[in-house]
Amino acid sequence: MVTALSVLCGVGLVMAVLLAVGRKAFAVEVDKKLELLMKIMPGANCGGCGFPGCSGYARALADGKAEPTACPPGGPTLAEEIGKILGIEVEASEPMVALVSCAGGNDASPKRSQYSGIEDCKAAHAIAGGPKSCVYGCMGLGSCIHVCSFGAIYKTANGLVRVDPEKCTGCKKCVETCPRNIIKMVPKKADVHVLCNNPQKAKEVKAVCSVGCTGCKLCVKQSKAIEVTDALAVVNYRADTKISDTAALACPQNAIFDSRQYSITDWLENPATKEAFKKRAADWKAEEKKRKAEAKAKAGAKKDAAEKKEAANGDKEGDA
Amino acid sequence: MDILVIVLLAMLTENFVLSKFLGICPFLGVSKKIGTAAGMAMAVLFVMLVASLLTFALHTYVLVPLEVTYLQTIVFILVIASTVQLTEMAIQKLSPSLYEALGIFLPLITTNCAVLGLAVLNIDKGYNLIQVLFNSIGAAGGFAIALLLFAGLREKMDTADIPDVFKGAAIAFVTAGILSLAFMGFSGLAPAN
Amino acid sequence: MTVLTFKGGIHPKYNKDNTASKPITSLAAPKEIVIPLSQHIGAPARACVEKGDAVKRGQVIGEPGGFVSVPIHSSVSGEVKAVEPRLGAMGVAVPCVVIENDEQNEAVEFERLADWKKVSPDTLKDKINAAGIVGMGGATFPTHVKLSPPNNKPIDTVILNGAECEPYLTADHRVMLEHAEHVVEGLQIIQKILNAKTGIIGIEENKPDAVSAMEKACEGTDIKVVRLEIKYPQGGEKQLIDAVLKKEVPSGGLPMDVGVVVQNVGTAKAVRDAVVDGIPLIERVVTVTGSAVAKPGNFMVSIGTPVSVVLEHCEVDLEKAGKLILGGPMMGFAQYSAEPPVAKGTSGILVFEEKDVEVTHPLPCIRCGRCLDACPMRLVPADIAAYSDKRMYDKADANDALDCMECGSCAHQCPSQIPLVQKIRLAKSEILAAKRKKG
Repeated sequence: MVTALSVLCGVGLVMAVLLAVGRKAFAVEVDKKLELLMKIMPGANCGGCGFPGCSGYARALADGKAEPTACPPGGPTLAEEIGKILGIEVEASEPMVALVSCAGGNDASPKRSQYSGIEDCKAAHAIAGGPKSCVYGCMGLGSCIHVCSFGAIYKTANGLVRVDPEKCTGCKKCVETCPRNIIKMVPKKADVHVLCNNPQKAKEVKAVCSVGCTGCKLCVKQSKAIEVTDALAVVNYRADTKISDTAALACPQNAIFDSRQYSITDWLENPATKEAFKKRAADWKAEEKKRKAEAKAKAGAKKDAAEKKEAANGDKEGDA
Repeated sequence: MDILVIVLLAMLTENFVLSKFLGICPFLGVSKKIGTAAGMAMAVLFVMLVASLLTFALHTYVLVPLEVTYLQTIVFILVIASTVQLTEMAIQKLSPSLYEALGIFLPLITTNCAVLGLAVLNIDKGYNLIQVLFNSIGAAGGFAIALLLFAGLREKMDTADIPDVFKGAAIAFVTAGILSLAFMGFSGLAPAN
Repeated sequence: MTVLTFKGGIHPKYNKDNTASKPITSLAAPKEIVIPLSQHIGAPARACVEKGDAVKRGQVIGEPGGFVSVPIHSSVSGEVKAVEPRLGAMGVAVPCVVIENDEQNEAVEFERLADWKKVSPDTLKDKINAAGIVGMGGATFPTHVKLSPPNNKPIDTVILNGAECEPYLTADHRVMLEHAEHVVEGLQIIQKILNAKTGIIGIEENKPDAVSAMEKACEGTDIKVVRLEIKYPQGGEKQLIDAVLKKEVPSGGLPMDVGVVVQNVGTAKAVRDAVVDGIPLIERVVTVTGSAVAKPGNFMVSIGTPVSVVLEHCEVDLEKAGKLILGGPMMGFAQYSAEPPVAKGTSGILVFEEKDVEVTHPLPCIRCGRCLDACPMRLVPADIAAYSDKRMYDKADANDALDCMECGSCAHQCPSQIPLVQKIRLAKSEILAAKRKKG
């Protein structure tokens, strides 16, 4: 009994001493901050921060080489937590989401050739510019779907892809992947978007797509926050002005989408909604035309009246 | 017994992983990439060598003379666990990248059944010091073969279209089972004792 | 005579009988000529004419945009109508010079050179550069660059590629038959420029008439004519060197690494024409064939002639056509429109009826290994394609995806009709993009 106990104790003691010595000899400094940062990382390894994975970002943060707001999936909540760990003030950034800026599905922009290769936009784009007649439009083969770590992108029935803004974390992976640069980052709270990416002139656009932006500038008249460059209307998301809901109605190509009026899925995929919208837009345009004509008539009448008045005055003067 | 037979026995016929089903945890855990698998195999080789020599010495010079061989298991665990702890510290200091790659799997060998099993088998089979040395090398070599083969298979499987239900651990177990069946082919290679 | 070849490759149906016996006939240039400013690999040429300018046949209309670039010449005389993007052979609009043909055929004065043997290699090279000559087999790599190897890589052998291994095409075959002396003279000029002692012409066995014509033309010179096995891609540079010299070009290397330069027979003729007659590259031989072509043949076509014009001449009903390919069926480019012009690299125009176009429906890989046997670069196409599928491009790179020359042998052999080449090509472009990003 005593032998057994002393053997156990003896061996235990020897090992304990060895471990203690080892601990001293092989001491490694572990950054407490790094450990804490690693714990709060989202772990999606999406690369949205520009560093190789979450651990890379954590290390860069600990070394002070990265901004606490750089993680799109983590958003402001994570930025705040990082700020707490690093002991710095963090300014919240506006959440951004990806938007597929093309509404030209198979119905609007038909295929110009038959493509039977692999389901990948980059590969299809490399073959004679892809099967879609609009070379600026979404081919809907879904390269972006594959790179999305959050399952936020899906195919629509009419041959396009859509980003679900609720699931999108703004990691920009899809933006980098799209060979045609169709996917853009937009503020999550923005509600009016131009769903076209074709910078060509009206004739060329109309030849390949029935819902493409022709750069007619009718929307610009409705809102100062929309600008036209290269015959393509672009929403200036930095402008503070609220875009009036008439911008979407004014577009003769129905290329402007307003999320205050319809959900994007409904608007793009439900023919009934599309028809209803078209009717509304047509009604509005007719009314606008009438209003303008009236305004013109009124202005004309006013002018006439003013002239008359002036003439009358002149008469009076003459009298005096 | 011939040393070659001992090595072959430990490495192939009585492969620790695929015949004795010891050390399955690191076998499944660290076999996704050949690189990390090789690191793990090296760590196991080192631990097995040190542990079996230490336990052999402990058994021969402490437990037997004092007639407390019934303490074998507990004393061996104590020694092995401490040795692995030391190894872990050393790796963390000397090769941070290897430490990162092995990650949580190093502590796994702390109480690894393959290492303890080897120590106990050495005693059970009544090997002498030289035989213990080669038995350890053989056992670690067998572990390395199994691990690297499996890692190679899993790397190849990355390109396969596996049905969703089989993805991950499920297909790994199936593959490990088939690999084990294949290793049964070595059973006639060396005489089991 | 022994027949030489390389390991791997395939035996597709050649279908050359329709045009092999048809002599080259000239095709009148149409009213409107569209000349792309980029008909070669490398920097596009810069237009040096403007709308309204009068141009003559052979006049420079585009100046080279760098060292790896060539000038572009007008193939007709007339007036420049526009310098604007027009649809090119790659399916996208490319900058083109549009010229209205005045049908006067007024040419600039071509500088003739009676005895090129007395002129320095550099002068000859300048003449070739000024003539805008590119590889005419389809790769369109500027010839003067290929003829300027670095000093540490001496060239001892020039191989002329007369294999014409692409099915359907017979343009090179006809050039060898009808212009044998010019081809040989072109080879001699290239040999002089490179100071290469050995000159070899490799011809596939299915052109015995071309072999005897070339042998006759080579009489009294050191140039050897060798027969090659009928196999695709016998005319690939590396395969040709393997077959003729039993030398292997290292992975990622060029033929010059083993002291060899390979040129197409058509290029050799163009070199001769440029040096001796001073005529720049403004026309080329094009094979027009396929099931939808009523009158197939080999034609001398002015560069810039729209494909639709050529097809009209050959009585092709585009309504019935299911597929239009510029180049050979293996490595050519399928088109969705007959609008693109014939360029320096257009060796053939193939049109097939809709019923003859097979639409593939890929099935899973059954690991039969046929692609492995077929690959002339000795790669494992199935593995590279699988890595490409899973977006594991680093693994694809480790499997030497970049050595793939996209010959299409693997996809041709695949019983599951897997688009292996497209997958490998995607992997290649992703690997190169990643490398560029790394810098």
